[in-house]
Amino acid sequence: MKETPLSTCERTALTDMVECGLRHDRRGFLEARDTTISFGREYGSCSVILGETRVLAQVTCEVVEPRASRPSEGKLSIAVHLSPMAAPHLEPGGGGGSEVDALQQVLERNIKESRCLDLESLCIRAEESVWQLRVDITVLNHDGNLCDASNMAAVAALRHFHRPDVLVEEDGRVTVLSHATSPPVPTFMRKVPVCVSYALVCPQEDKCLVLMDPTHVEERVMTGKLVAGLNPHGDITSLVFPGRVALKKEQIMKCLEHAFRRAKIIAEMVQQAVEDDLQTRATEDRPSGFRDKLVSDEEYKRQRFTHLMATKVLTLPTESTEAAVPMEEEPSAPEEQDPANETTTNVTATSTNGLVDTPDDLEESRTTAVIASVTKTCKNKKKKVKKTKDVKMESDSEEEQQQTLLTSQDLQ
Amino acid sequence: MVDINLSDAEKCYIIDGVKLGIRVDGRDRLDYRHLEIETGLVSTANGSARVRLDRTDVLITVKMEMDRPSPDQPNQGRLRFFVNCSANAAPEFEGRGGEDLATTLSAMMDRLYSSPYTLDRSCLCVVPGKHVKVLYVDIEILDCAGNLFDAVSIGVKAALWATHLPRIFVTGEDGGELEFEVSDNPHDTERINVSNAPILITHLRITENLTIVDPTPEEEECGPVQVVVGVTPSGLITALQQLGQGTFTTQTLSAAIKLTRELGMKIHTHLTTKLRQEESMQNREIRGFL
Amino acid sequence: MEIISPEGLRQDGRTPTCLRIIKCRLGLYDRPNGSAYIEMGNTKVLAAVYGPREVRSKNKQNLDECVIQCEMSRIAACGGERVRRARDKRTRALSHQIAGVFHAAIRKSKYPGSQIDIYVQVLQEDGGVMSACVNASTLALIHAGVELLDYVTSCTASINKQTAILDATNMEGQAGCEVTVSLLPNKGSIVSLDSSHTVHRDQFEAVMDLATAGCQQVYQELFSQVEAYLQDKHAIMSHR
Repeated sequence: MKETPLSTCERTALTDMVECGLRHDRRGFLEARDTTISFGREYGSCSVILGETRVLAQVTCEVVEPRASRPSEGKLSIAVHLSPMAAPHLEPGGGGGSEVDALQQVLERNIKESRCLDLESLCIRAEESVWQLRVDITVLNHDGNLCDASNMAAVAALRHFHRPDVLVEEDGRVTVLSHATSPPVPTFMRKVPVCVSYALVCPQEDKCLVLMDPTHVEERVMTGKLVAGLNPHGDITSLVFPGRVALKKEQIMKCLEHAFRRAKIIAEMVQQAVEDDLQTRATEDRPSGFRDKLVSDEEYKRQRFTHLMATKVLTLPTESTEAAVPMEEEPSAPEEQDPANETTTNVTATSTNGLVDTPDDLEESRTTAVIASVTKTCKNKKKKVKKTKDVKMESDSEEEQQQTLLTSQDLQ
Repeated sequence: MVDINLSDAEKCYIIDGVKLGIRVDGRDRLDYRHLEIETGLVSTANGSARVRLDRTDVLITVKMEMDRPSPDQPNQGRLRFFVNCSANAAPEFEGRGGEDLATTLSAMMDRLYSSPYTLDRSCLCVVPGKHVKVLYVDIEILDCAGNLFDAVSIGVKAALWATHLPRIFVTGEDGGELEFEVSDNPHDTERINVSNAPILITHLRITENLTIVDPTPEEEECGPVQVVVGVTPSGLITALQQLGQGTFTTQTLSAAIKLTRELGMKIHTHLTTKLRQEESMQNREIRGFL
Repeated sequence: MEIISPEGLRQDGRTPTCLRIIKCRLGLYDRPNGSAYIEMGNTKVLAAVYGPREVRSKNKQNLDECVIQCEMSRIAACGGERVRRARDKRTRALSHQIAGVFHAAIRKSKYPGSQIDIYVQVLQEDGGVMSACVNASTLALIHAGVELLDYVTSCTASINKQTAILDATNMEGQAGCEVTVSLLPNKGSIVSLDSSHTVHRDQFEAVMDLATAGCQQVYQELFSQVEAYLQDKHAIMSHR
């Protein structure tokens, strides 16, 4: 099936919104979507929900002969399956296509080539038998940013995976013991690789705006993409910036700085999720798996809105801003924001970068933004959420204001 | 082959010219175009050659690998041909577009060297019945301007002539598997005997009873049928293939074959002299593509 | 074997910040609109450009700007071991990257509704393949007369035990990471960045700076070659 074309007015609306400092789903430019990591019944099966993107990773193992050039190391292979289940415009077969190639390349570099997983621990008998781990990643729903989600799922699955214990006899025969006989052995991962994707939107020739964690519709509108694979220890495992946009070195370094901060958060999240699940598994007789965690889209959106309203109205962000560039205050906005103002410490003004002067226009642009986005269910909720979100808007349409971009609202 | 659109007037011009005994570029019926050969371009291959026949450009590389012999010929090595039409030559060759041409060419080369008389494969044997050398000849078509078969066959002969195979010693046995040692010395190499290696000559039948040798793409458009003949230095015919949707009368065909023999023997002597000359040059600077 | 000797020289006698010798030639073949050949040390790449011409498949046509496609392939004898398939997923990934690079560099609005094809053939690879492909493609595009915003030069840098080295060969690059940077030299903006294998963030900036400096050196080289070529052409034309 062919992908439904994005109309010109939708496209212009999205790019203009980004230029004004808004994203179509009310997030900050460097804000990621809600992430949920859940595990299945078996060891090594993990599902990651990033906004509406859903990815499932499954790790399986097998005893094989090692490669001749590396006789005492195990093998790791990663396979990505992107089928029409994820999105109707994808080709059936799930193998070819440039998107799969790019995804596969990023994952292989991040996980295999970075050697984050200790392959030597997978060796049973040097030159004869080793474990081969195979990670199968299936994309269940494609709403943008598959790299991040797949990476997270693969890493969590690998950390969660326990391989069966083996018994090696003198004559070299290897017996794989069942779970009942001997408890399975966890895999050892030295460093947790994390993937952070940025979409680059260029509304005009020279200006370049950076959005983190793009949704599918943002990916269609973006001009370029930057995918950084790193780990919280400070290593950059892979960096893919395939062109289409010309960037300055400073912008790239800033993105990397932000990526490192985000990497810490994600790594902790993954670690926590794995530990929690292993603990509950230890206490329960039969793990519940995905049974209770499957949530429909409608339910998910509703949950998200209640969560948003709760957090955005009542949070007291503790980070202090580097007030690098003073921004113009919106004259009419304070009336709506008074209740919110008291509770927030960093009042970053609503975006006025000279494009929209009067408050009326700003209101209008916001309402058009509301109309343009398709996922909202309740108009009243929208307005409330929108108003509270106003407080948190950064304007980062100019490069100098990149400073403020990085400091606020990157916690999720 | 690559598409060329010719008007009827142009076709008549070419055909009438041949009838009068002169071709568009002034050649005679049996004249070849300007031919340039250079060997030893690609240092990562065991042997390589680049042939330029006017604008036709082909790059041939020979690489050696070890493998098990085929069960019906346990003492013989193998020679395998692979052709790849590069998209440089024509945008139609992008992706899998050039596969038809590639299969025709590689099939022809296989037939050409199919006779054991052309190349002695028993000297490619290392351990009879277990390990033999396989020569992979990879042909890359970089530009296509008519008469690919001739250029490719001349190139293959030159590449095989320039191939240096490292000497392989059997050092011992280790649990049923033999251990080999490949000589590291770049001068301790073996050469292949190409004294009987054949070349192909293409005859294009332009009009009744007249065939021309080494057609240009425009001439190929005019003629209905071609016959490709493989001939060894001693004048033996090893392969014969008719291409195209036309017919040959028996007289034309036998005349073409006889001409091929004479022409072929001449080309072979020239080729061998030139290859020897190239090899004897000390400190030859490899021009390559520059 | 040490990659950098105690005197500070590499195996082929270069210093860590020295580029390999670049030899290139524009205009090898007549049939493509533009063709070029480049040798960076032992890495040899041939590039051909067909276009701007009519799009072959209507559903890919973009009426605002031109469509750019790239295909890279390797000959069987390009490396030490014989390559079984000329085009595999690695070359596909690299082709995408190269196409992306030129999306940013070609003035696409000048050729609406048409297609520019870049075909790259790797004849021999010895480290820095993507750089050589990008440089060869730039030369081929210049030869074809396609309007570019700026030259696109590319260079690779690697790191070896705390020292950043420029333009590593295959053997030198196996030890550490390989960062490939493509640059628009006059504007100073980076068009493509590719890093494989782990590199620490503290060292990353140094490596990237070195690669950028290397790109500027490549630009000087290419610029002088193009000037020489144009002067030759002009010399021929001025006789008439």
